Amino acid sequence: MTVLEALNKKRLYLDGGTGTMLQTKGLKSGEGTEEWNLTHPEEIIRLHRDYLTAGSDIFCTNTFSVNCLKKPNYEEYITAAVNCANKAREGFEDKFIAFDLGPTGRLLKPLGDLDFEDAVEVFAKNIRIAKNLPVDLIMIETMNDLYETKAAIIAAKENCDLPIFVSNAFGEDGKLMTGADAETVIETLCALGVDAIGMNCSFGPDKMLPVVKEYAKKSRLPIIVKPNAGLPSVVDGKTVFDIDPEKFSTIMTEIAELGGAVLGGCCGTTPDHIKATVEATKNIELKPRNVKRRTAVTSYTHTVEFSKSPILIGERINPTGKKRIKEALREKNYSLILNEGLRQVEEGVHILDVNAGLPEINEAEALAQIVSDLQSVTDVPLQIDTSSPACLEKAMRRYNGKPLVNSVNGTKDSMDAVFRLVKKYGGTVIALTIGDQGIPETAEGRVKIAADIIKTAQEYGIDRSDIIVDPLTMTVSSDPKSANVTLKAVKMIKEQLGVFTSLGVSNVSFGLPERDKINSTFFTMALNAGLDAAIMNPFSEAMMTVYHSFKALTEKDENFTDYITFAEKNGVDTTAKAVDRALDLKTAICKGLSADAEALTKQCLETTDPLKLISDEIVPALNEIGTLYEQKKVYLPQLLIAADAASASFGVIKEKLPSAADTSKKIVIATVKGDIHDIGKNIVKVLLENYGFYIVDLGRDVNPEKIVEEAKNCRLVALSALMTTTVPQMEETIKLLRKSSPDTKIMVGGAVLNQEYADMIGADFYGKDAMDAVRIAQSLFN
Amino acid sequence: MISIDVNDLELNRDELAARMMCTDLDTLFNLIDPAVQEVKSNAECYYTFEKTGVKISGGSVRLGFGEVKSTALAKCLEGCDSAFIVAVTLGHPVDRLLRQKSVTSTTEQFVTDAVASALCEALCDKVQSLLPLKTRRRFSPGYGDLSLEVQFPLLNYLDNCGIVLTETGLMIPSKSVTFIAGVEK
Repeated sequence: MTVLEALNKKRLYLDGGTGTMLQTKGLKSGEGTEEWNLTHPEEIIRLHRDYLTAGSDIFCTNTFSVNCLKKPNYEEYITAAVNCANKAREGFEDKFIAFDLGPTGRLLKPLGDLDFEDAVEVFAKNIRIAKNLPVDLIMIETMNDLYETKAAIIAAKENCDLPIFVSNAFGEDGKLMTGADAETVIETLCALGVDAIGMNCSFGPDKMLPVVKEYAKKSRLPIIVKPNAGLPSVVDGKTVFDIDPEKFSTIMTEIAELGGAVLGGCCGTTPDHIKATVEATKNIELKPRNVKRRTAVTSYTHTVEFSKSPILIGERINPTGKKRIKEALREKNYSLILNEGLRQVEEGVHILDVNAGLPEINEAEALAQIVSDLQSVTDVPLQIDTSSPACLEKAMRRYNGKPLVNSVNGTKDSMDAVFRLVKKYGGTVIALTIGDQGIPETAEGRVKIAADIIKTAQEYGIDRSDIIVDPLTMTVSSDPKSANVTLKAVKMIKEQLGVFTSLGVSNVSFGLPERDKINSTFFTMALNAGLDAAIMNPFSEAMMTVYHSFKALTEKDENFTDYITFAEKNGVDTTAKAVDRALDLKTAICKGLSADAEALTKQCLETTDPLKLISDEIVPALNEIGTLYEQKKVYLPQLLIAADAASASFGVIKEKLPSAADTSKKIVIATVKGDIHDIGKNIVKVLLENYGFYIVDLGRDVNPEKIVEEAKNCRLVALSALMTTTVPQMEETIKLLRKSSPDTKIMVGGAVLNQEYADMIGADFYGKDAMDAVRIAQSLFN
Repeated sequence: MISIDVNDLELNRDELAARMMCTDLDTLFNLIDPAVQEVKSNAECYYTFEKTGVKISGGSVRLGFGEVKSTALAKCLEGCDSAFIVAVTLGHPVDRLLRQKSVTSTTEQFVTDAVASALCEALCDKVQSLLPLKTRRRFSPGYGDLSLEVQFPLLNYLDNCGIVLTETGLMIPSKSVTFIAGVEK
């Protein structure tokens, strides 16, 4: 019988603590438990057998801390650990060996410095060894980061066919260390297609109850519960825990009644805890999990559920018809794109659509990078929008959570490619009602395609709750009947198929003037027809008015809270405030008055040439504030707000000029590998941009190879490092640059550097502060 | 990990002024006040500590997590039999806030970072006042001749403290501090 067959029949019991048990047998403080696989195998075997005798059905190999980052000879540890387990199983042949995978000990990018693919490989190396040994399942446990959990699951799915059990470590706030709440962990892991999920470590069973209840309510999978024996304290130099076997088993009874299907213990628990738990819970019936499926997507912190209230999906990260986004994609200036995302979140969208489809760029690279970067600055879920399965796979793999996928259609090729990816990585899919013959002209035709897509999804093991149908908004000016057909299809899909619907609302008005008016009216009609989600422009006041008013009028806004907040925000006159007549642009910039600088620039441009405005007003302002800063008459914050005001002014001017970027004055800037501090680099960047330099910002923690690649044919590279530990990387980068681009000059800066240090590591210039960096660049380029 | 209410922390203006490289904060209130509010609403303040014996021989100090070479630390702990090893953090959401600011405005990134650093110092002050015994001035890896490498064994010793190191020894969340504080006799 396999472990999954056994779990179908009855509650299974895990083992208990390892480290705390081995400490009682002489494991020294600071000594890793895994060492005993090699030095004291008989003790490991005895501990396993003690748990098996106590009633454990599944026991974990002593491999929690073994991985290639911590142990170069990880293979030896794994083999020894599985040997111990296998020997322990003699006489207990119906018991199951779980190959134990613990966290890597590092944090994944973008929060930390371990790349997602490197993390997958760390886990994969262990699994490739374990799968050839006598183990029955993979137990991923004590994971306190959702992203790392996903890396381990992907590694397991790609390298073995064993059942996958996953157990996360929650804090007292009911969240993982990196912010995911229980609901989000449940949604994401269920979507990834594992076999059992749950929680372990952190605290005792009493404090675990709230999270257990959340799992009981929302998990479709069997629930694992493996608490500590309460809280530790040190008595006479020994760590002791405050929940004894009897009390432990009493609370575990409650957990079993809630639906706990795989019960065991973590730190501080002993064979006695397991024995007492088995005794207390073995007669409690294990009911099949009967949890209603929901339609939901997640970020790495929270879940957005499609239910009664309509969901807004921000459409602005899309190059179609947007010059600035196109430029940003070509120049890999993702800051602008992230900013566009943050602004939409500020307006209240629940999900951000991300489309990087531009023929001349590497869409797969760009899309995955933007998805990853967006997740470092915002915690709303993302809708990955691409027509290429290869791009989709790269982005879905990188995504931290359960994404919304845009889109699949009713053709065989599309369904085969997209559903395979959804099955592997998890996701909810927007299904476009396009078939082999194109888009049906009738609502009935579109409903039929939707039904076919749902049926095919089920053949791939994807539930209908993970399909959201988009019956397609057509351009009404080309076909006056089309809006009504779409609205009818929305109604029919909801009534006949019982799935949620979405529309890209703005398509309706192509070719017509005052598009907002048509869009917002169509949006109202669609919401009235039952539309559940709209891909739309949240910067349109008309659209947002429709959304908030509709909710208020249809009992979807309790106490009118959202409507009142929206009305208050938008009732205020947000047009540019009247500019003080006495204020000129130069003064506005020097004083750091961004709004005034912007308004004055607009005014000035009515009568003044943009280039003249730059040379007569903006540059003198920057020079004046820069000099005051160098003379220590103003401080860095004043210099920065002046730079911001100048940027606001440039923002207005750029709209008038065909292209303000002068690539002959290109400077590549980066914080070196290993260093995640980027404030200094960003300050230098802002000032250099204001002085007309074209900056290619590679970000922070940048590989030397990437800097070398971008530095080709560039006259100046600026490198920043804050920590002493990262200066060697700076030196390494300089060495590589000298080989590949001998004519390129290198400027360095950062808190730990000085002229002497800069000379020592072979830099051409040392910029002591941001203004100094500007002066150096000016003297080099002039 | 023990949590602390961020509203119990007192931001030190001199500390903030130093972080902002600016002696006159009065003119910058319109930048500072919203930053303080944002950092506070994002902060998830936690700390953890362990008490350890102290043995000093020459320029080396033996603490719970091993022996470290540092004459500055040896001097700071001179005469102490024990010390607290402490880690504090403002948590991951503050890092996310700082990443947001790095995209939206360098000025706000600079000010928010300064406020967060000053708040982290305030958290250290608060935590030090809550330690069960009176302690001397705190000493952190990276001060004087105490190598940053010490972070690795130190954080390993404070098991499960929620702070993770990068390969180069930088703490994540970035607004975190570890320190050693000798117990006054």
